[in-house]
Amino acid sequence: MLDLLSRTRRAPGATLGVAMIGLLSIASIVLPWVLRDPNLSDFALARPSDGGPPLPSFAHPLGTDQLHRDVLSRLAAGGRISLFVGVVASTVATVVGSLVGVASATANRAGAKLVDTVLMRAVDLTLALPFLLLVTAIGVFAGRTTVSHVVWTLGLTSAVAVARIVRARADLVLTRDFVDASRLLGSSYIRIAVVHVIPNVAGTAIALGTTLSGAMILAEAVLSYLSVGVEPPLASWGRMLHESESLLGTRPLLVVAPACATFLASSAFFRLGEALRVGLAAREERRSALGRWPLDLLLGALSAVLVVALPRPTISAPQPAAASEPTRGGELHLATYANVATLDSALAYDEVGVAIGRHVFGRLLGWDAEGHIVPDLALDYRFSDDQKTLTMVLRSGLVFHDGAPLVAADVKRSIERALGPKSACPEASHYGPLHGFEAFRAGKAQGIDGVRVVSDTEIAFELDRPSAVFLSLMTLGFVAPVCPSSSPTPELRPSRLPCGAGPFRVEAVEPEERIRLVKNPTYYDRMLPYLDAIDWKMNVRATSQRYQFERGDLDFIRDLSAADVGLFASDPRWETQRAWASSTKTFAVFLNTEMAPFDDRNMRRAVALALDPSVLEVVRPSEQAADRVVPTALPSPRIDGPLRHHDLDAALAAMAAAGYPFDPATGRGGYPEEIDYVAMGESFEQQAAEVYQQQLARIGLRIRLDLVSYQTYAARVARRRTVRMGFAAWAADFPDPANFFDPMFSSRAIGETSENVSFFANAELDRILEEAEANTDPKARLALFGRAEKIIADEAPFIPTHASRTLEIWQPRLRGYRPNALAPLDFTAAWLSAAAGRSQ
Amino acid sequence: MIVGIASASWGLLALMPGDPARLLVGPQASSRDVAAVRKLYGLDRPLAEQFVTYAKHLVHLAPRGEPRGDEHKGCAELLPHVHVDLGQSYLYRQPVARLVEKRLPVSLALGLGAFLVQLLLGGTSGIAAAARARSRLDEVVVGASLLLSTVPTFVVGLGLQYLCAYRLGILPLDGYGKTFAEHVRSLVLPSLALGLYGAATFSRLVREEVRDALLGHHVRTATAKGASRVRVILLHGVRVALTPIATLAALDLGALVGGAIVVEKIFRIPGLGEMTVNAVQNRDAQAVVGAVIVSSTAIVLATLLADLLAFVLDPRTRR
Repeated sequence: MLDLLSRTRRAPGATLGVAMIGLLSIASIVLPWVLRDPNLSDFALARPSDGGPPLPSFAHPLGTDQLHRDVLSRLAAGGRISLFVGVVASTVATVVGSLVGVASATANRAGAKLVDTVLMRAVDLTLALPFLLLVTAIGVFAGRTTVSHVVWTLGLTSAVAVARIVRARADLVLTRDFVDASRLLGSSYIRIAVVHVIPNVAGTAIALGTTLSGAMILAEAVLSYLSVGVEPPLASWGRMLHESESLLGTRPLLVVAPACATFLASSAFFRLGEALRVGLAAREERRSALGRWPLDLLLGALSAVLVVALPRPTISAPQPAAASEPTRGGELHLATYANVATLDSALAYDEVGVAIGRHVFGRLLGWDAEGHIVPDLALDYRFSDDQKTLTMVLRSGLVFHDGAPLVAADVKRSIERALGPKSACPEASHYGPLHGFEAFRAGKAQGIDGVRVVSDTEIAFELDRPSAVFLSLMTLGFVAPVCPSSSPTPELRPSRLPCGAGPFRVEAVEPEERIRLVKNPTYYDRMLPYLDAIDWKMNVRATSQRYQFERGDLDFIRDLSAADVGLFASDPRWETQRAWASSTKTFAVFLNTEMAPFDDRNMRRAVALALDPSVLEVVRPSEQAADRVVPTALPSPRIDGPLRHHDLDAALAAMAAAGYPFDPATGRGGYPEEIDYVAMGESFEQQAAEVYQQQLARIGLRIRLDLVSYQTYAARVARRRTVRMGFAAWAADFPDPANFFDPMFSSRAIGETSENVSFFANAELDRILEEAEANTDPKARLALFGRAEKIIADEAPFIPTHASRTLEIWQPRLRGYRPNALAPLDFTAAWLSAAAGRSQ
Repeated sequence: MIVGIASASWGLLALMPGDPARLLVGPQASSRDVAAVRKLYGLDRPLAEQFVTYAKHLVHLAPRGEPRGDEHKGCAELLPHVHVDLGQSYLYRQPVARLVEKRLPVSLALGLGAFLVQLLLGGTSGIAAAARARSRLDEVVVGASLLLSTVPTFVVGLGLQYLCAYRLGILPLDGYGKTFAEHVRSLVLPSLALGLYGAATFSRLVREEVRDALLGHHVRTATAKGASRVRVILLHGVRVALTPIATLAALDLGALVGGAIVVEKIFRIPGLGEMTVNAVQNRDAQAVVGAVIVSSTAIVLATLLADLLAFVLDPRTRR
């Protein structure tokens, strides 16, 4: 053993490896005690003009991250986690792998071939699965990933490789004479395994394990990159790398620092492992893979300096185009990050899919930017005196893309196609007030009795009860007329091109690549559209979009990274070429009113008073703090003054009233348990949650972030008595307050699964919502919803936090485009200035 | 073995929370509408039943003589009249077989590119280092190989993307392009990102093996007989070292499949890895199982290839 140690010590790289590991460990252990809290944001720091996080300063030598947390402290704290994961995971892998390997080899020799076969088949099976896929699946399966999850997953999945090598080694040991001798002396195979085999393979295993430590640190980083690493706000080097990836252009240090730390640690373990291997090896194999000089460290340092020292990229000035009258022709080039999986009007619900659908199908009625219903394919509409019949008059002479005339019977056919029993229409149940809808949806009737063709241009909708929102429902894409040649039912696997009567016709769909629209020459408005074609690329990353936009290959972008939003929003040269498109989505924190402690109104109010979403505006310029349920971009109740404000003292008083007084000075008191906060990982909501976690800690409410995939989130929050609090969001399906209040707050929506994720039941609110449903006077309805807003603000089952705007930027040659929150991405009236020719 | 993997991944997915029907109707559909969709596509049936249906259709004989009916639209033809039906992806709204058909060649091309990087870069640098043992060249090769094998793949990928595509603009930033030339150009950086790690380990391995081979008696004999240095290195050094090298290289193909997940994500290459990650995160069950079946088959084939190569290259195994 001593021999081994001295040989190892003399092996190249040993001293340096040990020194590096020692330094990193000491720094990770000591520094977090000295430095500031790695998980505490300092929003008092001002942002530089480029919109990126604050730059390095004396107080923050390496600068701060997106959430204004000190990078140096996080690096040190991250070291604790990364090194811990590396060492413990490789120990698990080595111990488990060695035991399996020894057991397998011994069993084989002892005649229990079956055990060996089963064990080795299991090893082969695991090796055949792509390692990362396996780990990702386990991570997603576990839902949340604590440090111990990461350690066990990495350890157990790497154990198989160790098992293979150790088995081969153990097999060799078992053929040696002293094993036979021991056997003759009457030792059992178990004894042989313990006394002879294990000590003889231990060296190999230890050397293997040391090298593996480095690999595990790398694997942890990759896991974090695939967002199944340790849970936030904990820092690990991998997580830090992942979090600042998009800042590589503006704050390279944020990426380079954790990358260097990862590299140093993994190369230190590699050195040590290599030295051990050399120390163990037989004389003739005693050659190290290491060179004389640590050139790798030098090369690494060089690349790091290169990345940090490169001049920052800047955005170029817009290229001017001559102003002129609207001109015809030209092809508009657009791109989106999203994948548009379906364009079928009955099925599409995603923003871009719906926006493209608006170009293709045309709607019965539309919305202008001020929130008024305007004619589209239908020219006019009227309600009967009892408000139970809506009659719509279509334009005459309408023609579908395939040449067929569009008459009232086509409207009825299209509605029945979308709402039929074989349609996966996401919003079918909204049309419940239509007479005969239920029987038709259930497959018990041939058609919807309540949709009646009066003449070729007139169609009547008969309702079972007056519905104030029914007219809005007629503006949705689901009920847009589709060509008679369309598939008779909406298809899961689209086999024909979508076909309607809108301003553009679909020329080609290349799934996951692009959608090409061309001008519809038979559109009812002879003036429109100006453009000849629109080329809409899908699945294009934000950075790539910006790059293509700057080259002039795209005419319009809006999927920008937070860093680029900052750059473009603060650049005066782009002043006239950008606009904020307001959103119709409200983000919020929900509290489950059926579960302790949020069944107590005081606790809910404490949370509402403690949250200060205004800091989110600092983190990302596109966010706007909100205090009401219905976004102001929609027709919404007028309320004077804020509905909610941030007040720490009042929040502490509410905590005391709920029976959980908290003393911020000593940190004593507060709610005794940790409460899980459910949100989707890998989104801005995760950053928001990390901010809320800090804010709620100030009133003695300790939150643990439970970050899950969207699918898990949706399944969990909808289930009764499952989730106590978390993130909630609602986007307008149609611009009416009822679309927010009815699903989210009416007690009717509560079931074993529910969209009312707060499980909030309030008799007065129910009464108001019922009244609003039957009342068709817009002014009176808004007044009712104003009262509803106040109830939500007082009872706080749902705390609106922010709305997210979108920065839209276009080339000067694109004219006639104006953002409309109610009809986003509408290029029907846009045109391209001919003066600035495209390069291609 | 592949059947075992398919069943295991199906079982794992079945235990995960989440509802494929949600993928079809989005976040804001009411419970009623979700339930209706679940019923429409048979997602409300017991999982065991769904699995049996899936397994029955996995490999089946196509009806002879008839043109492809709707039922067989989503099948891939493995052999004439032998169909493989991998089920339906709800995320992509396409048959999984169609997705795999489109993405497998992309992944294979990326794998091949990375493999070439690994062989050429790793191989030549390893041989060169071995031939000039203990020289400055040797030191640099060893240093670079150490650096590359201790930096995470995604850091290498992001760095290459930032430097070569974004700052210098000489290669596409991401995507796969439409023409063959575009495919090739788009694959350069991802192949490098993926292949450099392999090249680093491979280079060390080649260096070791070739160095050992060059120490053999036959090399001394050959040199003594007047063979040129190049001839000695290639014919007597590399040839002897080829067996272990080839075996390990073929085995590395498996690692490439795994690493591709990260690289495809960074460069948005529409390959199997990218699809798998998306499918896992969205609980697109049949797409996950389909991808797992295909990639494990690839790994198993690579292992077989490794054995076969050893057999061809090493006369001793032929006895």
